[in-house]
Order: sequence, then C-alpha cells, then structure tokens
Amino acid sequence: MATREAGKKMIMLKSPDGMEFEVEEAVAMESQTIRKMIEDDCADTAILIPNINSKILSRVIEYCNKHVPTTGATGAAASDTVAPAALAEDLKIWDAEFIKVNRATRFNLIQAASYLNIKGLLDLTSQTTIDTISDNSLEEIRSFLSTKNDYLPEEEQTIRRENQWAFQ
Amino acid sequence: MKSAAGAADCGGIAISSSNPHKRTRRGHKGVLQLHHLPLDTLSDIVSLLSFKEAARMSVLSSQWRHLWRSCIRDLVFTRETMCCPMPMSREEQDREAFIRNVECVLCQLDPTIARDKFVLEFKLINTNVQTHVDRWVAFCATSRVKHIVFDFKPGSWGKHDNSFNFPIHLFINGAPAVRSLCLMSAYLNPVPGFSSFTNLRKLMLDSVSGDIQCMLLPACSMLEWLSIVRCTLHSLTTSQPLRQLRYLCVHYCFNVQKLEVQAPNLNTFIFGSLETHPVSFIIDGCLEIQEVTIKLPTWRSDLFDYAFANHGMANVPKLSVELAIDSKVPGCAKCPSKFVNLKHLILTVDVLANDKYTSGILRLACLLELSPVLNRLELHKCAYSEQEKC
Repeated sequence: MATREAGKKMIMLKSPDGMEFEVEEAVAMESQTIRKMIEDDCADTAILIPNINSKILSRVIEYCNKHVPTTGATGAAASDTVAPAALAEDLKIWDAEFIKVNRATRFNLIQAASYLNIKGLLDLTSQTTIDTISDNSLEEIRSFLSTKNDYLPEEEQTIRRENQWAFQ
Repeated sequence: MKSAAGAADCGGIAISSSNPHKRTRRGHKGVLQLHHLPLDTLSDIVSLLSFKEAARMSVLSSQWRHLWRSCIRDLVFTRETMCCPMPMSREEQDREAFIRNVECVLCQLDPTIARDKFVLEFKLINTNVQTHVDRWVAFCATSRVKHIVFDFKPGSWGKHDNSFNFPIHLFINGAPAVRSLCLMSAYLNPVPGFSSFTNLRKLMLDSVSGDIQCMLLPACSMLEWLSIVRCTLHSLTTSQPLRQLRYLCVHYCFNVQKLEVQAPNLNTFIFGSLETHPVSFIIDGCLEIQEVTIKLPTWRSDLFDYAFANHGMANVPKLSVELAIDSKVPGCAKCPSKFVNLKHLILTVDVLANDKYTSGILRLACLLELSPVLNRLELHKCAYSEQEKC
C-alpha cells in the first residue's frame, strides 16, 4: 500500500464484531450511505456498520480502495501515465479476481453493497449471481440458492404449464 | 488500512437501520441466502434476468414465484421471448401459442404493481384478436406502465389494411405514468373528452391511422421526441407551441397537405414525402434548429423549387436534401430562399437527365451563392438515376 500523504482526512469504520478500520475519507465515500453521513457532518467519530462483519467489511474496503477515482490510494493503478482504457481493463481483471469467492461471501457482499449503497460493487456481485442462475438448470439453481421446493406435485405441474414458454 | 481498537467507545455513531425493507432476514442457521436479502435488492437482481429466465424462477418455490410476479419490471412479449423456435410450425399455430402465452403471463401478474416497460411485437394484423389487444392495453393502463410498445406487424413496410383499434379511451385520465409510446400498425378511434397524455416525452407512430391529432393536444406539452411515419394524416398542426419538442420526424405519410408544428426549441427536423403534390411545411421560429433533412425521392418530377422554397430554414446550419431535378429546366427563375447560417449541405440528387441540357443542374450552383458561410458540401447521386450525368 502506498504511503499515506499527510493531511488526508481519515474516517473510522467499526464492524459489529469490534474491529475498526481507518480509511481515507475519499475511499469511504465510495459508499453513498457513508458519503451522505459525512456530508451531513454526522461522521466526525467512528461509524458503526451494523450487519457487516469484519471479514466482509475488509473486503468492501479493499474494493473501494481499488475503485476510488482519485490518485494516491493505490500506487500504479492510479498513475497519470496509465491510459484510461488500460486502467478500465486493469480494473475489470481485478474485479474478476475479487469476485472469486464462495457463495456465502458473495451474498454477504451483495448485502453489504446494497446496505452501504456502493453501485459498482452491487452491480458486480449481482451480475455474477445472475450469470450463475442463467448458466444452470433449475435443479442446480435450486441448490445454489438453497431454495426448498415447497410446491405440491400438482401445484408445480400447474405452474410449469402456465409458464411452459419459459422452458422451451 | 489499519485497525485501531477501542476508539469508537465514546461518541461513536451507527448507521441506523430504520427502513424495515432494508433489514436483512436470515435463516435458522444464520447463513445468509439470496432470498434473505432485502426485497428491493432482490428485486434489482431479478430485474437483471431476461424475461424468460425470470419466469423460470417462479418454479423454484412459492417465494420465488411471488418475487417474480411482483418484481419483474419489463414485460417483453415478442416472437423471441414467447415462441419456441420450431421451423415447421405454421403461422397460425405460432400466433395461437403467442396469444396463449401472453395471457398466461398476464393473468399471473398483479396489475396493481407499477411496471417500467410493456413491449408487444408480433404479427397479429388481419386477425380477429381485438379483445386480447384491449385486455393488454388495459393491463398497461392499470399497471401504470412507463414505456409502452405495441407493434402488430413488426418488420413490415407499407399500408396496413385491417388495423387494430388501440383503445386510447383507457388513458382518458391523462395517464401520467406513461413516458413513451410506440405504436405500429394500429388505428386510433376518436375519443370525445380525451385530453392527451400529460407526461408523454416520446411518441412514435408508424403506420397508424385515425385520430392522430388527438395525441398532440395542448396537454402533451412535455413531448420531446415525435416521429410519425407512414401514417394517414391530412394535416399536422398544433394549437399551442410544443416547447419541449427537440426532435420531429414526419416521414412518408399518406394524404398530407399541411404541416404546421410550433416547436420553438426544435433541434432536428426530418421530413420525407412520397406525395405527388408539394406538402406545405414551415419550421420557422425554431431558433435552436441544428439539422434539417428533407427527402423527396422517386417522384420523377423536378422538385428543386419546392425543396428550396421558403420553409423557414434560413437559420439551419446543417441541411440534407434528397430530390429529383430535371436538367431541362432553365436556370434559377424563382430565387430560392437564402441560407444565411448554412455550413454543411448534403445533396442527394436524382437527375432526370438529357445530354443536351445542363441548365437544370446548374441551379445547384446558385445554392452556393445563397449560402455565404457554407464550408462543407457533399453531392451524391441517387442510385436509380437514368443516366450517369451529374
């Protein structure tokens, strides 16, 4: 990680399991929820992020660190010498690696992205989930989503018949 | 990042989770599953699925069925989404299957939930399914659909014979939810007391006949984009200016005599006519106008004087004209209007040529004299020209 320049405002984020994370204000403001708190002057001390444990919160901060648009936070990626297209490509590769996590972590990241209102992270995690759903059979989707089939056999038959076109 | 324990004990603040929809519901084992996520997040995820994939999810469980029925925002009924690709199936069977499937979907959906888009594109023209059409349009009206597309003859050209009536009376309350409406191959019955769409931004009519004028009543002042193509239309006039209108296209309409649209902020105007008589149109008073395109193709009579007559185009910076000219016509007898602001002129010319005469063609040169600030001229010759001289 690059050396932090002096004078940058830092924000303290606290997870429910007691861990604290000091992040640059610009990084924290990738979250629209936190941005609003900072703009409303409600963030002069630590911000407790409920529902998001330290493991997930650290991953979210990692994502925001990488995606923060200004220079300084992450050495080479934000350098002036890199063309915007190359930068975008670099981010895409980084995102693809970042999202290689197990199912539970991915759902937790969706939850965190939704809660903290981080559009890029929400799009990334949602799209990855949608890709999994699109590429698999109904039974595979059912197991992936841990969904219990609560239909009676006749009910399922009726619903399948009503939506027959979707299975063609 | 660094971890600093204990700093938040005094005066630390928490993001409150006061919004009940945002609160996460977890299963017994405490492991987060997708369906435990807040409803609006789930709804966003489901809306990323294609229409077909989302419908398949309804077979997973009653919860997913409920989610599909309430979350799907875009309803897209086309041959691609609703019909199986069977190369041997007959048109009639396809049509019956399509109608059955659309009805099946709609009867499962809750019409009180607002939807973003309703698209129906299928060749239904010349069939007797008006009752279905009425029901589909009624669904759009009750579910406050924002963007409505009805195309009863996708991909086809030409005059329609047996159009469906688009039951416009269902929107008699002004339908404030409707932002855009695309209607193809339909008929608009005059409805007494209809006061237009109050929030309509974009209107596209293609091969529509009947009371088109009712769409342009003063209440339609939010209209930004208007395209009227291949419609039967005697005249198009506005009683009050359409102040928001930026784009206007009137293309190849039948029986048009007059075009008088007051649109002070118009940016782009496209006019095309296949009529044998010159259609009167005036775009005067459009101070923001950037681009005008006039297409007068295929009629083998000289339309030079008409094309460059005083249509109020003096301020247009970019003008594109497609027309036929007769090389026998003597030079500029009637002086066309002046184009004081014209910088870019594109001419696509079909020359009714005779080797002995050139005066008709030389009229093009006098256009240059009338355009003092012209810096770019493109001259194209129509492919269907009789001779190679241009």
